[in-house]
Amino acid sequence: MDIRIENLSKKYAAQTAVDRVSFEVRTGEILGFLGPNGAGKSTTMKMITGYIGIGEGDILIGGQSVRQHAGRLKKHIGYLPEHNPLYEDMPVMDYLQFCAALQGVAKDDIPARVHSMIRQCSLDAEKHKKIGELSKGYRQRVGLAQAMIHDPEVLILDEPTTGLDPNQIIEIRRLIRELGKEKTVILSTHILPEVEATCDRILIINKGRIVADGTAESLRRQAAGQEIFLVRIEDAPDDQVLQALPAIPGVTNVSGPDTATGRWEIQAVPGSPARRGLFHLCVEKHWVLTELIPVETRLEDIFRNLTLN
Amino acid sequence: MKPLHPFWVIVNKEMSDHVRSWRFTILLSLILLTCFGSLYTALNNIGMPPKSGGTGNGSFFFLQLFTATDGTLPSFIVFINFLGPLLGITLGFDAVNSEFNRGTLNRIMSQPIHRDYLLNGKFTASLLVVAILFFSLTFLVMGIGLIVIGVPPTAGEFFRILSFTLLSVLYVAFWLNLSILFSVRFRQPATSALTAIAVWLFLAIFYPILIRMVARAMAPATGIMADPDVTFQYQHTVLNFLRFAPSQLFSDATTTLLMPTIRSLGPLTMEQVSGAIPNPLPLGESIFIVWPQLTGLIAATVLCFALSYFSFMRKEIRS
Repeated sequence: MDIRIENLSKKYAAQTAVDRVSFEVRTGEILGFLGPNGAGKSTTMKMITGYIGIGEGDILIGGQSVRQHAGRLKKHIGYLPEHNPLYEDMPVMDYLQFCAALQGVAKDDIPARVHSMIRQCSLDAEKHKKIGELSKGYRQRVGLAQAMIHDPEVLILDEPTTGLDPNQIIEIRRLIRELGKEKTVILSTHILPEVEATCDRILIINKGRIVADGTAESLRRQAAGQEIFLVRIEDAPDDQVLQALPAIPGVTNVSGPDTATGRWEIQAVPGSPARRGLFHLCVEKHWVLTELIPVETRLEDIFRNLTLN
Repeated sequence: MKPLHPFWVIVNKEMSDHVRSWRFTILLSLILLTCFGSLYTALNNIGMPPKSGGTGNGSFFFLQLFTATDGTLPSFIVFINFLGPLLGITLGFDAVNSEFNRGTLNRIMSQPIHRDYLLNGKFTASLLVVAILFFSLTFLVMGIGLIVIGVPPTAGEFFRILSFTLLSVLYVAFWLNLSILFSVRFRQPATSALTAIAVWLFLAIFYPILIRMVARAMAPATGIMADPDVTFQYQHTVLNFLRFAPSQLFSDATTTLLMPTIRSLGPLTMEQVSGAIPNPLPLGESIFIVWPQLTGLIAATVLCFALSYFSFMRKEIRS
């Protein structure tokens, strides 16, 4: 079930939380939703799930507008909210049965669905405990189980791995990737490596507006105007290296050597034969090239550039 | 099998939460203790049932289980008048704001249910719990009374007791709705609880004191100079002001239902009293006498519910 957001806006009094946001998510795609705190991620997700009303614009889920068919569309959406609020006095199974009943799952099907979710989210050992007695990781699994209990076509996950240990994070990511093969998933997170590991596409929002939309690779290409690599050359005087390196075709800038590592930073035109030229230079001068490390623009740097500047 | 309607899903869940909660257990224990205490006192002071039908309250022997007292402990109806509001406030003071503070309101509202199902479900669940509690308590008291006294209630007595129980549920429903209204208006459960208790204390204790103080200051002349019409009007006015307190409405209505000889709730002139046959009234007539009190209680309950419904539906919920 595709999701299409068209010029979505939301204001709280004088404050604009979401400002003319438009994007699409296709079935089978996992969209990573990034942004600093207060950027409008959760507000956008709440409007998609129908929790809060839309200000301006529209949200179309499977071609149907949330404005007209909110009640019906909620049956196709599974939502894991930020902070994962749960009824702590309820046992896990009772809670999942309650959620299944609210979602309109047929009475006869509820036990089977609950057991299926318990299995899928590895809650078997904890299913009879009260939710308040569970660790954070298990509570997150309960939240995820609740979001999927009615087998929705769309999953909206607001920071699903918050507070989990590394093993649990890997498990949840694996589960999300598995789910993302057939469902439409929008995943909001602050953990940038998680976005790269889990998502097919990244959307960065800042101050209510989209500032970037693309795959991790395309965002890197857009952000990186230069190819950067680090080299370490031995048996070569620094002054001769400093004179020779800028002369290599394609090299635009040379800096170094770093006093701690002894490495030189070389910036070159993307796609140029700068590395080949470096290799031939070292051979010609009888210098020993011991390290050649390409530097990728980090997603964190892209995020900071887009949201702080 | 068709799925259960989401409204009844919420009702089931809320009823289960109430019954499993410690505060309900404590309050239930308190109510049971006080009611059985008053029942014990009533049984000790009831005396022997009349041999024949008789007149006056003696012929409605069974009703004295709920009204008799020797002064050491208040009667059953007085205890209900006092503890009923507490029960309503306990069940409703954190109905909405606790969901908001936990963040679960967010979760519930994203389910495919109408927004008002939550509020209506909470009210219905609490009301059902109160109704089951009061009816169980009433039938328990009747059963114990039947065993101890050995005299079964007549049909008239039975229906009067049922009417009293329904009225008690309605009375608690008013306080339940008021506390739900406060739980919608105030973010903190402590604030809504304190406000509800403050309103209860004011209306139950301080308001009658204030009215009587003002009434005493404005009392007309007495003795030889007294004008009967002025005195009559004065008494009516004081009573009408007192009836702004729900506890007064409840007290008037229950006393009339459980004491069939009561023919009026206000002052009577000599002309009205002379020639009156001192027979107990049928149930219908008793209800007719307290119909203004009943409608007043119903109106107050509906008003509180309407206000809380309006507030909740228009509330912008931001976590």
